[in-house]
Amino acid sequence: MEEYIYYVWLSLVAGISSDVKLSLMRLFGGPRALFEAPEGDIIQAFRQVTEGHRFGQGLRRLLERDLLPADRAITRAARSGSHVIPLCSPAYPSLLKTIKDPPIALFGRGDVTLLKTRCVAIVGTRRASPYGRWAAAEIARRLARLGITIVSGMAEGVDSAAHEGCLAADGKTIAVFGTGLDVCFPKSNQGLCGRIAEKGLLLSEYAFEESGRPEYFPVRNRIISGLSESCVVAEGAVRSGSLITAGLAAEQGRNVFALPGNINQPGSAGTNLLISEGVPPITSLGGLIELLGLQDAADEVKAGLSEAESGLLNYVRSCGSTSREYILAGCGMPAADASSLLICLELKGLLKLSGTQVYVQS
Amino acid sequence: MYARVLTACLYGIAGEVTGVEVDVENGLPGFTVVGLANQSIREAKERIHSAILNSGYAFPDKRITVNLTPANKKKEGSHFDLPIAIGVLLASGLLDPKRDLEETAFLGELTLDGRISGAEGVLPMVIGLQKTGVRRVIVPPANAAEAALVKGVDVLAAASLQQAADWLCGFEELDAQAPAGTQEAMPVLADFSDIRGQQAVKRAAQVAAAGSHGMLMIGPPGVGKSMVGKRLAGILPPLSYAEQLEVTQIYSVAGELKEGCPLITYRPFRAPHHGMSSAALAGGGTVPRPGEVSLAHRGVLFLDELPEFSAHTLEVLRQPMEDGEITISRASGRCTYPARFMLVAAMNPCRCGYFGDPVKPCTCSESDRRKYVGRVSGPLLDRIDIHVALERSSYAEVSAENAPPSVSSAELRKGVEAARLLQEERYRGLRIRSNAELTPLQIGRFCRLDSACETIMEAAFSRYSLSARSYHRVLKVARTIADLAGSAAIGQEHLLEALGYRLPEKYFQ
Repeated sequence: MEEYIYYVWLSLVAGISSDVKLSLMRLFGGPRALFEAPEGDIIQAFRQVTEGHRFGQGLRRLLERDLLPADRAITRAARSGSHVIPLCSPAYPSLLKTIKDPPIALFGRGDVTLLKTRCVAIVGTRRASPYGRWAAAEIARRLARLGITIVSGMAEGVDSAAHEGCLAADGKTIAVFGTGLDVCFPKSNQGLCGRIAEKGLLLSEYAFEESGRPEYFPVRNRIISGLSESCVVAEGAVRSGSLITAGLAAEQGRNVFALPGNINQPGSAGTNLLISEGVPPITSLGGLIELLGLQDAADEVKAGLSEAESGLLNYVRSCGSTSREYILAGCGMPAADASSLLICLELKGLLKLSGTQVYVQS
Repeated sequence: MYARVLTACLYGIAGEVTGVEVDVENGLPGFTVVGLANQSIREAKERIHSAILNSGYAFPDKRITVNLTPANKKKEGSHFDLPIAIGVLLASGLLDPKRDLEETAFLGELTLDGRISGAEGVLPMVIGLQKTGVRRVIVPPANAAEAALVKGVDVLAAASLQQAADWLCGFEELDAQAPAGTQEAMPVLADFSDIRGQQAVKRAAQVAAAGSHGMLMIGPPGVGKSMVGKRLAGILPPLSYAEQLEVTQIYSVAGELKEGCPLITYRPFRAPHHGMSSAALAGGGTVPRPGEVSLAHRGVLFLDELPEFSAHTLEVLRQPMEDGEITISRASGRCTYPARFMLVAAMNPCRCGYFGDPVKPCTCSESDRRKYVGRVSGPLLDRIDIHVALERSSYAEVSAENAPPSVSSAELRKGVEAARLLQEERYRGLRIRSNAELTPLQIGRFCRLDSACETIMEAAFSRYSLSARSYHRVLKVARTIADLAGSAAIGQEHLLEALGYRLPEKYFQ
């Protein structure tokens, strides 16, 4: 337990990447040994590890050897009922240990046993299209029902949709923060944040009060993919954080899947590019579940549909997910009747209406 | 000598009888008006002086006192000129009245040469006079047609002070204005058949019109939100005579009646610009006047670009949407105007307008978008019964040749009128006329659900996380849809369709 504080100390030293920290730790045989080593040795080891790269600020902070932030973080964790999970802890997720730059210590709030479950990451753009949101939520919902834990970053757009979809199915979800656990970013997700803390797990490698910096968010993406055995990219532009995550996931040896999208949409350009580079596309939800090596649970009973209902459902299926107006114009029923049937099918969980769009569920 | 002449004064849109007492005594020449008269009445002295001289009478060089009764109520309006001038002539002994002054009232503004020009609010004042037993009213020719709408009063138009005085002395008869002629036809408005495709919103518009429900349209620019708004007044049933008088009174007070068109026979359609102030919407000014909410009484208030209205302005809508009237308090007094309108609003889903568009990408950030839709407050959205999202029509729908025949306004209105008739029948004896006005208590009475509908409602409650208020909203709309179908009970299909008109979460999460 006393050893923990040195892990936390090393983890909280800003300005040095985790792979350098890990190499230093290995070189000295542990964070405590590193902490107690003479200054000269550290400088020499640092030069050797970084191959001459200058980490001026980071090195200075390392040499300060200030335990106060670590002490404060551990106290704060105890007070707020959060968990400190250093690399050496048995609670530390084993899959995350295998990446080249695992966080030296993690802070978690909520159900830490989720770190030992099968995780799938769902990532994507913040400016998601309605289709991207729906797909993220639906994939999360379906996988959650099969007992998979959904990992994402609680950003706006796809991330939020994935968490929400998972929670809607009473599933387990992990949100990895680019800020400290006491800071909810974006603020608009305050409610979601509370629900995840209650039913899932919030995870961060930063000190509790850390308000985050733009560069922290791509860095935390390695944790999202590192925790997970597979990574689903729902939507993302060509140069975006989502594609960075996809690259990291591939580097870490995870399965990556991309959601094909509309070629007109900038948000789908990235995922379509991934597919052209050989990432397997998600051609159907059932297909994805099979690719993950899972057995699809029997879906809700679809029986009990009236003739008109199943007729309309088949028509919507034949159109693919399309706009309400298109269906009203082509289904051959009066607008009023078709509208009430659409709602009926939505209540039965077979369709989803979002604004003017109609999606086929499962 | 003393004389008393009757006239009227406006309080809100209610006219009340007012007496003009004039006393002419020997003494230092002077002209005093007492009885809480406002500036325009005090200025009347100068107009009356010139008008009397230019009409060929001598102005009495005596001490003149005018008292307006009841003396404790504030009075305003330039129509006091004529009764005061007649009173001065009578009290100074220049006229020998041959008519019964107790049954006659005078209204009209004087010009310096003695002609009588039009005044505002004549219709409600004549209605007020008729109620207190006045049999005859002398009005300016410009207002004669408007005043003649009131039944049970002889309306005489006098063009000048001279003419009015001659009539009073029995030298001349004035022509009685004939009561208003036949109702003029509904003005030709734009027709719903002009809009191609967009079946969902057309149906929603019909439901809204049938139950007088508020409606909010959300969609990208150019899909036809404003087109639908402008055509809505055209599918509402015609106004009854009582309603026409109600609406005309408001327009009379606001001075918005057009000459030659004394009675407003069609439903008002008001589309104020989003830069308007809250006083222009609610009514106001140092002397309160009816605002847009009252001018839209019994008609449509169309607010295009809803989030562009200032938040303060929009909050004004809450009282009239609940109570059907609006109370304005000013230093000069408090008045209540009727304001039972059908709110029709349109908005873009975000600043650029393309959020959720299947083809054109949206350029707004998530937080900008939230800020934009957040400008319309939750309580206001809660008071709008029908929400409908619009999308762009495809080329085939827009180009006239291939398009299937589009439903016309006349067809839609037929359904609306039948549904309104059912509602009037049902609510006879109650103080409401349409489903939109149902109170929660009345909803329990008139919107019963059978067990199959209860099951649907239960599922919808958990699926859509409805609130208590939106629960009531759905029931009211379902009642209207059942009325449109001519059904006495709310059926499953009616309830399901009503559920489709709830707030689209996609835009407001």
